[in-house]
Amino acid sequence: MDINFHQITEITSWLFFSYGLFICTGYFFSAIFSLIELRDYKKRHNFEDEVALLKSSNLPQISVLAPAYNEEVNAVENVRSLLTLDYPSFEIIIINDGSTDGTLQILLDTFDMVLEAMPYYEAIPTKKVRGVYVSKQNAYKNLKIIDKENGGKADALNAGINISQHPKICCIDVDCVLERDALLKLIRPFLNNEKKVIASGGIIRIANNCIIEDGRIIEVKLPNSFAARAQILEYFRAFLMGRMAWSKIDGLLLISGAFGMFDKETVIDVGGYSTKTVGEDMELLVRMRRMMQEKNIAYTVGFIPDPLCWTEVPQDWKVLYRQRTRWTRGTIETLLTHKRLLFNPKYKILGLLSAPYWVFFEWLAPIIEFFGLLYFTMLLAMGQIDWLIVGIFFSLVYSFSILFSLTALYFEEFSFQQYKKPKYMLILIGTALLEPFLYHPFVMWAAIKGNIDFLRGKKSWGEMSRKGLTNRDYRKDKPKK
Amino acid sequence: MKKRILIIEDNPMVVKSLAFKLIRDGYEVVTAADGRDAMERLKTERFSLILTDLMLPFISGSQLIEYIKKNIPGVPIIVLSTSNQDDIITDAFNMGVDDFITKPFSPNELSLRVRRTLANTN
Amino acid sequence: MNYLFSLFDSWPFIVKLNLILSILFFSLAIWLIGSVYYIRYTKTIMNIKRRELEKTLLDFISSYLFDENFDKSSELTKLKKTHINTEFNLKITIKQLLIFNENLKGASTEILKELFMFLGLYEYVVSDLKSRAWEKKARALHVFSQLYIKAPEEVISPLINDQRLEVRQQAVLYILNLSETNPLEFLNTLQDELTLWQQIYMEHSLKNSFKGEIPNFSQWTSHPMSSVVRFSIRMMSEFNQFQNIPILMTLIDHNEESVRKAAIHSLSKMGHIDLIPKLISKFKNETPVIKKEILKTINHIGSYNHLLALEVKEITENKSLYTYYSSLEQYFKSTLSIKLNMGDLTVKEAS
Repeated sequence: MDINFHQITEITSWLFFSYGLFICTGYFFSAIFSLIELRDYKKRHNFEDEVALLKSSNLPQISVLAPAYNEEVNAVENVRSLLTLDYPSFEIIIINDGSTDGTLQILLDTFDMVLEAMPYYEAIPTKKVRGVYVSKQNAYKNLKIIDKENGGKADALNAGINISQHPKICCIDVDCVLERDALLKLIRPFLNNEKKVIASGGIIRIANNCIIEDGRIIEVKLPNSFAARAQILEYFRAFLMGRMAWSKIDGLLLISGAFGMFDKETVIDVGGYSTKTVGEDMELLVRMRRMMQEKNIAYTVGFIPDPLCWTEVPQDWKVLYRQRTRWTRGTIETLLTHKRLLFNPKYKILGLLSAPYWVFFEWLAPIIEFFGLLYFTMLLAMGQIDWLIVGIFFSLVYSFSILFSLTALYFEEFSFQQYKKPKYMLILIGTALLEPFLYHPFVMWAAIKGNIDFLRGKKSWGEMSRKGLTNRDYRKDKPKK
Repeated sequence: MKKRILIIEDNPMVVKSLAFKLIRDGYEVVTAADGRDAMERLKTERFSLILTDLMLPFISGSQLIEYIKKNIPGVPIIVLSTSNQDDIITDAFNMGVDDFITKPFSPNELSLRVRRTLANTN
Repeated sequence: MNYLFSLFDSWPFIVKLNLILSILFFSLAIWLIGSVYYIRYTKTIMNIKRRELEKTLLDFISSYLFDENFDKSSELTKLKKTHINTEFNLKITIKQLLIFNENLKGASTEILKELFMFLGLYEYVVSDLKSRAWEKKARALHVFSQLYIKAPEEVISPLINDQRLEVRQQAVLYILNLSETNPLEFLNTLQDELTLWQQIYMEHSLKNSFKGEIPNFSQWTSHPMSSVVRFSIRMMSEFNQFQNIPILMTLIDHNEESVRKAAIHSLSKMGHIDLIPKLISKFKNETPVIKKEILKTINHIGSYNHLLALEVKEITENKSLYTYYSSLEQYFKSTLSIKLNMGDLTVKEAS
């Protein structure tokens, strides 16, 4: 009996250990790929001028789609900032998704908007559109406001897609602060590519505590709260290391809902955003990629690492918790909807690398970590712990995790260096040292809760569980990691 | 009395060249580096001519033009812009600007067109 | 000490490995912190220097260009001595000259070129052209083609077939900007399709930089690359080559949809109204994309009569197309009613 027990613990320990090793190797390679891609990106774009683009009448026209739900406080300022984007030909479509406050009225008044009878084709079915408004003033010629019944963010974006007139759509959160050259940069992958480009995404930056005037970042500052600072590191890791590497091997599965550009025709072909999931941004890209591969058309997805889009992240632990449980559910829903991708060689990188990565690293990692902790507690209770060995194992995990965060910090310093004050760097390093204790367990637990929510929700998949959800997407907890 | 010209432009190099040229032509030159600053000046000061870019931080050139046409009509406007697409130029003229100069520009030609526009409005 | 070693020896391999790895990771982490601060320090200093130099150059170049009382030669020697001494400063100076060059035209560009030569930047950029780093080669080509400065032929020619796409693209633009005849000769030997980016920059060069005679684009309408054919068709209307209208009219029947679309678009842009009857007769059997293009053309240069002449039975099935058709119908009707109020007679013809 005793020997048997030891064998089991040994095997289990080895299992946990190899999983850890597996993940670390993955992270190691993603860091290397990111570095190569970042260096290459900097070299490619350090001398080009944008004048020819600004003068061109051949640049694809863009529709910027921004759904708004109860945004009366910021809506006007955000629209004003969108109006000053540098791009030769674009339209801005604000979709008022049945706000219960004065969002619509304040926009109509400020920009002198009137109802326009405009026939349009509902390529993607949505909740009822009550009207489309355009401005009487020439200066706001490229602004449209759609007023529709509430249907959630995905539904609002779909309505925007139906009414948009241009071949490329840029979907953003209305409270995002965009840099002026955001469209000009994000369109780049669409221009210089021999393959068909179906989408391009950018890096999301954290705006908490930054000084913003009239919808423009004036000074980049570090947030005061630990939760927001930990998210800065998390975003560095996710974008500068994770997505950068995925874009190098063209395996990106997610373009943040807060900021991404898509080829409209392809989006319509796959039926637009899904209103049946809380992870509509990831689900859309996966569905688009899947269709392209099933149709056997050469295509690619672009990624631009410049800081172009700034957004507020939740500082409140409760809101953050809700955000993360939702992200987890969105991920699970997407992966299960598209489970046939998994290990399917027909889908190449998508099936053999991207989808397994999401299953094993994003979905299962917190669960395995949680069971690892349970297992440890069990051993502890049985007195089977050699504290010296625990200490050494722990120091390995800890050293790797801070090494990884510091690498991300190093990439930021090397590439874009947004946090100018040296003091900020010190604080971020401190955050990196503390994060594994104070922030990581919280996020892990939120992910576990997301799994539980998913299992519970699945039983009552019908309209009931959806109803309370629609407007949750609009809470201040939007950006995806 | 010297005629006052407001230059609204966010590229320091362009501002510098314009100011150099126009001051030597005998005008008084005021500059605004962004749309917000320009708006403040338009509300409090008086100008004989406005030279503006279209793509500006905070408030776009077309919003400024709309404001000028509504609140201080009669002040001539010359647009100096990188854009040279037909529809952008047509839009600007529809809003009532007096002249449209595209970048790259020739400082001598610009000074000539400023003089001509001022002569036409008097 | 010996005790520690024997303890270490007694551990299983995996524990030993863990310990060694954690020590390695911790040291790497400390090294990274050091590097972050090192980069921060050097970048901060570089930025301060850059801003100072940029300001100096802004004043210097403006005075050099516009101030007649400016003592050019002595100021130049002074600047060269005090500022144009490191590679970093050379790069910034080139960049500043490019910014001026991008915004000014006329006599100023010649003076900028002169300044570029006097400051000894030519030699530096030529040495970059010979460099092994592709980004240096591409950048150097960019500088020369922006300022219209000729580089030695033997340095340029290998770059046309460089391994990196970026270098090849810049070489094409360089040739385009600086050639006197046949700027687009390279199209005849082109290996890959033109990307939209290339087309935009080529058009820009032809319009803004190329000094010679614009070639007749009809020579590429049967090029094997579809992107070249489309580019040529576009350029025909951009450069008002009305003599090519008959060729464009035949291209409306091309077997590639994208070429047909481009041809219709160009003809419409050139205001060739005779195009419309032909489009009306083709409409019925065309693809949805071309149908939409035909509708756009009618919107652009046609009339309500033309719209009514279309055989639209099938298009009710394609909802997106039908919506567009209806909005056009609505548009024409509303402009007609305005005309009606003004006593115009066109309505009678229309009905």
